[in-house]
Amino acid sequence: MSEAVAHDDHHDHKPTGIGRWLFSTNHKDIGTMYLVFSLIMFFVGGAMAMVIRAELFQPGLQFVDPQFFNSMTTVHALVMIFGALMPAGVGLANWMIPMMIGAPDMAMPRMNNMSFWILPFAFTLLLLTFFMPGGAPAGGWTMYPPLVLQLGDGFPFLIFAVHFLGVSSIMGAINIIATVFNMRAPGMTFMRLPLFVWTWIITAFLLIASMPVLAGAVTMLLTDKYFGTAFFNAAGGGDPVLFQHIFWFFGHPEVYILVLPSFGIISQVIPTFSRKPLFGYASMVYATASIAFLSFFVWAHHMFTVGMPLTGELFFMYATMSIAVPTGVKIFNWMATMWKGSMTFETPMLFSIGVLFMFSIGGFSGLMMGITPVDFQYHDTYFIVAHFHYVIVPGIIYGVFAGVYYWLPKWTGVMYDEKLGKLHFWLSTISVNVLFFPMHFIGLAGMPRRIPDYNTIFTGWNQIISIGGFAFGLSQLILVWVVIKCARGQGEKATDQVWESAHGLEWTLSSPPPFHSFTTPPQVTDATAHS
Amino acid sequence: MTVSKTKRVVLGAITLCLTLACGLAFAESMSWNLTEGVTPTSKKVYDLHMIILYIVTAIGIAVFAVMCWSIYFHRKSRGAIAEQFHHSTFAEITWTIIPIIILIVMAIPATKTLIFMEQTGDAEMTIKVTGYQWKWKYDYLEEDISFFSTLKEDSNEARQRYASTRPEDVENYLLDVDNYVVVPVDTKIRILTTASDVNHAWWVPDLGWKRDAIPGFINDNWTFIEKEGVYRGQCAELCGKDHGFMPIVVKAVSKEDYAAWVQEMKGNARVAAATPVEEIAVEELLMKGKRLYNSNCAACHMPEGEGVDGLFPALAGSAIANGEAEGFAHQILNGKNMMPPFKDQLSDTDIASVMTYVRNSWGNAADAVQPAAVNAAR
Amino acid sequence: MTDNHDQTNAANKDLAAKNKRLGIILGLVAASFYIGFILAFAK
Repeated sequence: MSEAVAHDDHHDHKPTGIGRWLFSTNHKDIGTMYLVFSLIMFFVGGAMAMVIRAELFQPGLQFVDPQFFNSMTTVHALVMIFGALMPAGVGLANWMIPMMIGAPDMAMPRMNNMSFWILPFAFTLLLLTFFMPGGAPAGGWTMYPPLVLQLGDGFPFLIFAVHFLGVSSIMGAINIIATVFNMRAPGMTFMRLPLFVWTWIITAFLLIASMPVLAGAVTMLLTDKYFGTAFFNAAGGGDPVLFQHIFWFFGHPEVYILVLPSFGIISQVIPTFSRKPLFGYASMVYATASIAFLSFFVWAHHMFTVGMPLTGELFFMYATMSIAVPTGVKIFNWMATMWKGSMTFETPMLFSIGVLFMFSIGGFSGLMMGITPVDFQYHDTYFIVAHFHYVIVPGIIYGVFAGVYYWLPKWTGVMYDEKLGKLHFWLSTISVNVLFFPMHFIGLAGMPRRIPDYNTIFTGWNQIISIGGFAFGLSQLILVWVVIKCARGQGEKATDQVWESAHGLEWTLSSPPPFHSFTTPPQVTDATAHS
Repeated sequence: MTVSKTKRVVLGAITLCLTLACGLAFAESMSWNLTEGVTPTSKKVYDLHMIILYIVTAIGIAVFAVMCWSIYFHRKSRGAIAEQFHHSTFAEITWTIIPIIILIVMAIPATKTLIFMEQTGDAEMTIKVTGYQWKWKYDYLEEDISFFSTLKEDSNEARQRYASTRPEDVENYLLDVDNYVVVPVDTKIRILTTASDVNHAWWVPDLGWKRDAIPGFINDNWTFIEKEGVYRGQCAELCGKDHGFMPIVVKAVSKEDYAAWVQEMKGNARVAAATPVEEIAVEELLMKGKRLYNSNCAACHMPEGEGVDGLFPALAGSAIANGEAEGFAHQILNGKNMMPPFKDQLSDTDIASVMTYVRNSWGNAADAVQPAAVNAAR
Repeated sequence: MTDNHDQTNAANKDLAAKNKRLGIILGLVAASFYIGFILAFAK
């Protein structure tokens, strides 16, 4: 399983052809595959979002039937979360962690290969359901019973797809933990790790603790449907609300699984372009760890309206509000990093600043929703849709974009087209706000989420939202163009350092880096450690 | 360089003006904020919402102002030279303590409101709300009144694909029902929510809360409406295909009008029970059947009886629908798999009408069914 | 160079064993969460 280092004796012989990718045990190639897969899934999920926005452009049903509309919202979420966001994070981890800690490769390169190659199969299972009697999953990505049990032949495919995705992420997480724990270069102590590596270790532990819970919950669904158990069936003595508790016990840590790597990326980017060390390194690590810890005690804020005892509602309200404290600490630390720096605004920095502003907006609406009595109004409306899209799109996806632009010159050896990058940022930022900000208004005004049609008072805003949606979708093609140009080597040659003020081991390697990152481990001191 | 900068500023200003103009043009027809509602709860919730909105807006303005200041003044192009500080225990403690204080300030009114909302005791009347796919059933427990409430016909027609009517021409599109929930004002009403098939959520924004309706559970809520009027809401928990099409309409009337309504409802029930089952003309059955089919059956079996492949069987050409009347009636009365039993929802005449309609539509050709036949199958 | 090579090989073997051990432990933790959760709610 784990012969990373043994492989390195064979120096720089690169396998070629399709075998290079199919049988790859190289952290960079696997990282590339993860990122390409994520980009493809980003467009698959995005296409579904476009269907949703087209249908919601005006009242009445124009393009799809309600059942298919529900499939669109359900599969859009599953594809984006498990197909686009998580693989993007793992892809960046694969590429960067060995280079950042001075290791030759990941600890378990063959398992690394397997955890990637499970993904295309899992998504084939999931997307095949569109062609089955009964159609694709349409009960929401949260898969609440009893509704999800009404799904037709696609049901076991949904369950096994989720199982596979869980196995893949757990294997990825194990690999990352083993790499960071066992393969750090001499002198690379834990408190010298770059913040991106820190956020990923914490994420990996969250994955190991929470993915089995999701797998357990969907297994219980499977046995409920086919083997006569009654975990969630009230008529058989079960409890349909139990599923919601278990699901969100996974689901809330999952939120931080998605967002923490993005926090890690901007903690690398902001110091570089502020030409200043990261402010409050230690407090950043502790804040990340406390967010991760608290994330296991707030799950019920996703289901306040389910009818809990008063004490439960109070507990989850206070716990939820308390998460604002470490999150605030992180925002303030990033602010202090920029303060009295000497900033330049290349594309990665622009996207990172985008995260600071717009993730904060999502944080504010999140705080509002944490207040239980008011959440009784907000729950399951477009206000919620606005909130989680603000944290996911300009929070998490912008972080990934920042990372891609930041490291693309390192990966490919050529600078990306700065003009196109900036165009990508500005078009995305304008359209993403046109897309998601008005959702706050229609949510407050009373439009529930997951409906294919609405009363005519919501028409105006929905049209603006749809236009923003189409514009945002189209703007992402610029990213593809930028990446293709770099991959084909079109652009100015990048130096090893790439960015004037970049610190860290990855910048000591050539651009592009050698096939095996560090064959001789570098010696790390305070001076060469994190920025 | 200066020219392009001026150009950019002008362009920016034009864009901003256009956006504002569009915004204002739309603003007339648009809603922006939470409703204040018509109950003590909804008013407390609205106030709490506004307080927190103001607090987070203030924090947002402060934080964004600092960031913008920094972005503007601490940039390399303005000749800023980076300082190298990277730690301050004092700053860390400050920006931990201040948010904690703000959170406590928010938590106090939130806790008070929550405790107020959970006092479901000493209600003067109780209504049990049951969610069905995709309609609501209301039981007035003290009055022995019980009825279903489904999407109104004109909305239901306009919401179909290739519909001949436009949503814009329907009054209260998707927010209107056949039977309103009539309640008295200035009365503490206990509202129990539950469901018969999958999870739903009962939500009327003007009452200030929503609550899930879950099979096997009964959730306890209350309301106290202070103003007469018609208040509209929707199901708020995804419940399958027609989740978007099961609205809620609450009509609050004076206590006297409510008493009169109760009498009328009870009278109607007696008349219905007393009417002897008799032969009904086929034309009448067909007409009534079409209306009932569209509000009760078309959601799954589709308006043209073609069903949904793999989920809901087609009725056009169906062996059961065209077969013996007794077997068909049995299926409707008792339900099967996902299909709910209709024996408590529809009368013999209603079921006979639907059966007659189905047996004589979309190419089906079987004989009409009379209420007596349905009664025999019960 | 050859001496060095042997030394690295030995070190590599150690590291491989360490990685394997950690991987198995974490895998078992995940598996027991999975089974534990189902058993906890099975009646």
